[in-house]
Amino acid sequence: MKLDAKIPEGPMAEKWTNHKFRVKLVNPANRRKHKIIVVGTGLAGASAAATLSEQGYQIEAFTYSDSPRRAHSIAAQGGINAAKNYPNDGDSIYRLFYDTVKGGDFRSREANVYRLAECSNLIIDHCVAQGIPFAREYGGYLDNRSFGGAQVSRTFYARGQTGQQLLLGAFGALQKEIKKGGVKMHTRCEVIDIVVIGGQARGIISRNLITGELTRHEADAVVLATGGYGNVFFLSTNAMNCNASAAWRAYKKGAAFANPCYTQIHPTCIPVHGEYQSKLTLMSESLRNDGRIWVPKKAGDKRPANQIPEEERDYYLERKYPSFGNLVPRDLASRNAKQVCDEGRGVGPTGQAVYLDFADAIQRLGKANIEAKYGNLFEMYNRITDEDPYTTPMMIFPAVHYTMGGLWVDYNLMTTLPGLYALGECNFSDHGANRLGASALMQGLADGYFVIPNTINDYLASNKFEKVSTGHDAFAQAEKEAKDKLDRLLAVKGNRTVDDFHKELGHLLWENCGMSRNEKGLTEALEKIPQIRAEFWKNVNVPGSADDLNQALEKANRVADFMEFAELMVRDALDRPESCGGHFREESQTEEGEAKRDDENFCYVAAWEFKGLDEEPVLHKETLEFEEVHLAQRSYK
Amino acid sequence: MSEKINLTLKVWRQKRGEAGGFKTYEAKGIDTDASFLEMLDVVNDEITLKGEEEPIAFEHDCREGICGCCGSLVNGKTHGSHERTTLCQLHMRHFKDGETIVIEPFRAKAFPVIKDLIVDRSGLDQIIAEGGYVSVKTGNAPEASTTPIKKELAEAAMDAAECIGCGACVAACPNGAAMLFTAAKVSQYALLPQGHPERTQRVKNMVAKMDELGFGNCSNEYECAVACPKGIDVKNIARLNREFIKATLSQGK
Amino acid sequence: MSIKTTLMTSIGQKLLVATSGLVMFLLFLVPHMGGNVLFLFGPDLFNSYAHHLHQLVPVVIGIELLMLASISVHMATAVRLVLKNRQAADHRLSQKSSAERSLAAKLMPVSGVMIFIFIIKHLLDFKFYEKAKTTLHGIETYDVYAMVLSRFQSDPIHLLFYVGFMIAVGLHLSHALQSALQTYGLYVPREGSKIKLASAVIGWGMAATFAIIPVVAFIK
Ligand SMILES: Cc1cc2nc3c(=O)[nH]c(=O)nc-3n(C[C@H](O)[C@H](O)[C@H](O)COP(=O)(O)OP(=O)(O)OC[C@H]3O[C@@H](n4cnc5c(N)ncnc54)[C@H](O)[C@@H]3O)c2cc1C
Ligand code: SF4
Ligand code: FES
Repeated sequence: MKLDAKIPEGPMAEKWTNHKFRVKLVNPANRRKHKIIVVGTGLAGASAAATLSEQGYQIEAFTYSDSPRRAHSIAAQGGINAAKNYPNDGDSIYRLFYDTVKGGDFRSREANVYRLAECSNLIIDHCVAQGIPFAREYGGYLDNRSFGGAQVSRTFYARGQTGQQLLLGAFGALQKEIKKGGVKMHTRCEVIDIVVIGGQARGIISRNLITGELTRHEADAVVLATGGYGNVFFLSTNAMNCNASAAWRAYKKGAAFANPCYTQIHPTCIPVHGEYQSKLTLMSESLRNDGRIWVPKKAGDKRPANQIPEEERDYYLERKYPSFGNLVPRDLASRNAKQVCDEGRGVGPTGQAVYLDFADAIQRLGKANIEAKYGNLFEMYNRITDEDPYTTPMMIFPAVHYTMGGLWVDYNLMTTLPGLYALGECNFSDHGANRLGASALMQGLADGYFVIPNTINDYLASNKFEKVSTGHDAFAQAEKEAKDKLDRLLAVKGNRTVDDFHKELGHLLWENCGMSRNEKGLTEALEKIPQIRAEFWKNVNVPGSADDLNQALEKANRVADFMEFAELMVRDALDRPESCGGHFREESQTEEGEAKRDDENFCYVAAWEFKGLDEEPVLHKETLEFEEVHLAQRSYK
Repeated sequence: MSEKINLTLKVWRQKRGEAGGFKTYEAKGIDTDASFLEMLDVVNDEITLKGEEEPIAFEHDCREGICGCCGSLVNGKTHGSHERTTLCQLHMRHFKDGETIVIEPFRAKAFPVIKDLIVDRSGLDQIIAEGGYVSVKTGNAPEASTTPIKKELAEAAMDAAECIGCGACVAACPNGAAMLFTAAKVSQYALLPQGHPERTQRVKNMVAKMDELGFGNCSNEYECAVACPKGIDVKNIARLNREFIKATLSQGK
Repeated sequence: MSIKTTLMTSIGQKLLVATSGLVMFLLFLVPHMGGNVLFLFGPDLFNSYAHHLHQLVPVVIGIELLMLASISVHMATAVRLVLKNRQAADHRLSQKSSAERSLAAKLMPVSGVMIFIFIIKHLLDFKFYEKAKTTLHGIETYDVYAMVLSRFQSDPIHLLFYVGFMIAVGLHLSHALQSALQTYGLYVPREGSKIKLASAVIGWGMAATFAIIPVVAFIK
């Protein structure tokens, strides 16, 4: 395997324009002859499917949901970035590019990030034309808010439901193309393997989630937009069905997996309540603007918050980072919360929470003001916890939120498996080791609306496509493997539920490969994961049959993949002894306990190649060159 | 403070292609801080390990009240009985120890039951396919700030656009009508200038599709709005009616 | 889409029900009530009103035909809608309606059928009934006043029947008026709506006014 990022020649600002001119095009009359499979209908998948269909390609799109509109993208709250500079506060494409590279702690590919910043403005234009009701000012023009990691206001939003509105826009475009006949939509249909013929991705095997039927679909190219793998931790802010399976199958069929250890832990989520907990809920980062984070000074102090006097409270962020205070970046805020809880100073019934206190803000600004700003968040918090944040401090704790790692892709978004593309959270491309707020939506839509429609034609035009039939051996083989795996899962008939195993795996990862990682913990995890996996295959209980709607089987099939994926994730974390972005290695910190990068040795993308289940994967390195943004250590003191 | 409660569940069980019926389950030691779906998880784990039958199938994904997957009739009410709350956001503290809870799928002719509590709501997507969008191709768009839009209009459009497509309005409607859902989409584009070029066709086609799929007829009883977890208002239905009348009057123009 | 297909859609059908209903309400029910009220002012005024009405035979026949058409459209469409709606909301076992859904709304089909029965009875009672004559200002005319008196005096069952059916009218109108307006696209809010209130006041007010006449006739 050779990694060729295919970064176009020329100055940064001209690369994309040049590239678009240089790639081969497919004549409009010939586009109908090419079938493209798009897996996933989140922001990235829906926008790609709709746009490619507008161009005239034949599209088949897949989602495991009952409707494309249910994709996890729907849950994004805060907003989407763009370099419009409407507030006239000094923003530009270059600044958005710069902030993103820096925010990613210098572990992303400059050329991709620059293109992302270039596309950002087109996204807003397009979404407004689609009738997305973005927030507006009294003059009728678009409003912006600020987000972490930037000193300008560049985030466009639609109340607290930006992801929903953007997804419904892309969903509408998809429905328009379905109606027109350009897209054939397969809902409740899970892709369970990728079919490779002659070294090219030429199709997929899907499972109809109602009847259990396995079906073969052939195409000239396959686009994966299947989202992130945060649910490997069991508890995360991701939707319950998010999984790594499609990407993992692609990896096993020859696509390299990049930086699997880069995960983002969001500091302000509602803490875990009990064993029954199934997922975690994000509370917007904006709360840190007015809330003060604290824990008791004494370990094991179980008094209710309002009985702990001021002098016995530790406002640890304000104490440690006097200039940024409660507004330090996500990774720092998360890590510090974990640290105080590890010291036994965590609050709440489980001791795994810190206070986010609005008492001072309410006194200073008045309750009405706070209500106007955060009313809906307070309401949501109250609905879940039954506590009133106006009178008792909120309790928060960090939670897994986003995964920067993903399938390795070149500048064209093609993986190392020819004909297989990866878009959105599913690829690794733009966020380096840490993603800035409001940038995932931007990336998903840039990939789908503007990048893939301009790059996939190069592949389609430069290759000859022999007609393949679904009767081909490769299809039969893939289908058989898929069927065998499902049958094996059903045959175990053990004593533990799928969730039980998933929780065990998730807990191990959270403890050993979560907010902070060290060699000992990672080595231990690397030993334990195969044991859990073996136990899973010996003792899991999957009820029901394979030829019916069977949610337990769907879940088991995904968890079986997580069991394998987790190992790669831990291996990657172990293999990167430096700290960067969301990846904090305790061995690599400054004297003050901050993350310390090692640019000399680790300024590369780690792309892993599958060599067989019992073999160690092979590491390939894509060295990162920084022409525009100069490598520098972050400081928030 | 959370406590543990015991409940009796009467759950609709239905195998694919067969007739269904209620079955009784005990939900023991349920934490009052758990969500309704987490309670079902606990019951399902027990059913699984007992091994006598399959766990209860129910739809869910985000568990944050935004994806629109979840929803059942709980004690005869869509999503349970709390205003502006989806089933996944309903918490067990609203139930009493010893209570019996009846859980049934959303019912409507246009929502056939697939299995247990899972129904087929694809009709809603088919309605959207008839025009619940602006037909703009990627690349066509003018600069985003070209057309200023009155803040009030943008807000009203957003009020309508918040619909999550859960189908509770249909299930709560005594007529199984999809008016609130359809009205929400029609309204969003009736309010925004971007939606105007297609408004005549949009409303006609979406309404025709709604009828074709077997959704019922609105009799202005407003059960939909009571049931809607997103607070979509019936003013959107009035707007849909207006749009429809205008479209009819502008026949052939 | 032609007008015809438009009228066959759900909203089109609703518009038909609303329009035929409003036609009956405005062209028949309101004038009829106005006329009936004259009964309270004694035989002369009432009989003179009836007399004048008879002079306008062509108009009256016109309106009667319009009423016949409206009621046919109203009922035929309403029955179609109700049947389709029953189907569309099939198989509901545990479903409960909310507190917000008014009794009037729930009972629309029932009150509608009751009103239909009432209309037939009412026509038999007064329209197709042998009427006595009297002289009014020297002109011979029907003694409608006496007829009304005779139909109710010393017949409590008949009286109860009429008053009872007026409850159906009240129920029907109180939902019908606001519902028709919402169908025409006028926003009738869920809570605190003036239109809802007005609809109830007018509906029940009219029903009560109609009901007063048999009561007065009975007492006299
Ligand atoms: C709570 C929350 C809030 C967020 N807020 C923001 C924000 O404010 N701003 C921001 O920029 N980002 C935000 N993010 C991140 C952002 O929402 C996601 O990164 C982004 O939406 C991912 O989009 P996607 O299209 O790549 O994938 P997804 O939306 O995850 O879509 C994946 C799709 O793939 C399908 N799929 C997956 N596997 C298969 C398979 N095997 N077969 C068939 N179909 C499959 C799924 O059905 C789905 O349609 C937030 C994330 C969370 C969790
Ligand atoms: S209108 Fe409300 S109840 Fe109906 S689908 Fe939308 S969100 Fe659900
Ligand atoms: S599970 Fe998404 S709305 Fe309830």
